[in-house]
Amino acid sequence: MAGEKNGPLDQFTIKPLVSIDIGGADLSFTNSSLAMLITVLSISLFLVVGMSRGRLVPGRWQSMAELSYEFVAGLLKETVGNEGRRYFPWIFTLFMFILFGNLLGMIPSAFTFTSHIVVTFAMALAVFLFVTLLAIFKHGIRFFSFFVPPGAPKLMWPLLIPIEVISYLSRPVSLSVRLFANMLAGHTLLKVFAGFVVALGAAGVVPLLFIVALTGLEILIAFLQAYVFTILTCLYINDALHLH
Amino acid sequence: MPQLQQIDTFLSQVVWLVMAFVVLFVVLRTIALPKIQATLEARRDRIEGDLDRAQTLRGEAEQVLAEYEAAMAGGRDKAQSVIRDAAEDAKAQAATAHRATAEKLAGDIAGAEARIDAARDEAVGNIREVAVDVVQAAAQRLIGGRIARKAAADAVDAASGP
Repeated sequence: MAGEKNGPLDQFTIKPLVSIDIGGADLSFTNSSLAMLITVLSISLFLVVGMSRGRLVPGRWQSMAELSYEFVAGLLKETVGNEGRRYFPWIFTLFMFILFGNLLGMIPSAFTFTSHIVVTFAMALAVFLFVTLLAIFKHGIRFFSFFVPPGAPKLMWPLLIPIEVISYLSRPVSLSVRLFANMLAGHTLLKVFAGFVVALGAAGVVPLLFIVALTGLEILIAFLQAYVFTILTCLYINDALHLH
Repeated sequence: MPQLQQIDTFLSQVVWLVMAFVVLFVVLRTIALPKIQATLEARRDRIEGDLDRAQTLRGEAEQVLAEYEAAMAGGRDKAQSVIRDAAEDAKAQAATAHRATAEKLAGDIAGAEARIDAARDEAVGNIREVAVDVVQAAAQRLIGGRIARKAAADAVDAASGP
C-alpha cells in the first residue's frame, strides 16, 4: 500500500524540492521543510503584523494575537504556576508551531509535517530530555525519588519502581505518537473518503458531506492536539520542578 | 507508510525542524512576545491608572460634600443664633418700653390723684367758707345781729363733725 501512487498515504510522501548534500548527509529542502518554513512565516506574520499597532483597544487581529498569548500564559500558570514563566517563550513557540503546522496542513494539498513520526518524536524527545535534565539539575539525586510512589509500602517497591520508570520513559513515545497518529488518521480518512466521492458517482454526495463534517472535526483536532502536546509539556515541567 | 519507509529523509526533517523551530523562537522571543507583553502591560497600567484616578476623584468629591455639609450646618447654627439673639433683643426692648410706659403712667396717675385731692380739699375748704358765710347771714337774719366770724366757723366745724 505504501508508496502507491495516489493512494491515501501518498500525501505523506517526502519529496525533495532542493537537493542539499552536506558531507554525505542528505539535508534536502523538502515539501516538509517548505511546510515548516510557511508555518514559521505565518506565525511571525500573524503575531508581528497583528501586534504592529499595539493599540490600547485591540482590533480583531490584534485581539487574536493577544488571545493566543494569554491562552498559553494561562495554561502555563495553571499547570506550573509562577515558576513556569521563564519557560513561557519555549512553550509558546511549541504551541504555535504545532498549531499552525496542524492547521496549515488542513489546506487541501498542503503538507502536514506533524503527520511524520520523526518530527513529532524529535519534539517529544527534546521535551523529554529538557524536562529530565531540568529535574536532575534542580533536585540532583533526589530526582530518582520521583520513581517511588509516595505512601507505597516498601514491599511493593520492586514492582512499582519498574512500572514508574517504564511509564516515565514512555512519555516521549506517547507524546509523539498521539500527535502523529491523530494527524495521520485524520488526513488518511479524508483521502479515503475523497476516493469514495469519485468512485460512487452521484451517490458520492454522501461521502462528500461526510468529508465536510470530518474537515470540521479535523480542525478541532488540529487545535486539540496542539493543546494536548503543550499541556503535557507543561505538566512534565511541573513534575520536574516539584517532583511529586 | 512513507513515515516509516523514507528513513533517508529523517535527518533532513529533523534538521529543518530544528532550524525552523529555532528561527521561530528567536523571532517570537525578540520581536513578537515583547511587543505583546508591552501592549498588555500598557493596557493594564492604563486601566489601573484610570481606576486610581477615579478613586482619587471620588475621595475628593466625598471631601467636598463633607465640607459643604459642615458649612451648611455652620450656617444653620449661625442663622439660629442670630434669630435667637434678635428675639431676645426684641423681648428686652419690649420689656424696657413696657416698664417705661408703666412708670410714666403710674406717675401720671399719682399726679392726677394729687390734683384731684387738692381740688377736693380746695372744694371742701370753699364749702366751709360758704357755710360760714351762710351761718353769718342766717344768724343776721334770725337774730338781727352779726355774730363773730370765728363763732360761725366753730359752729360750722361742730356741725360738720369729724
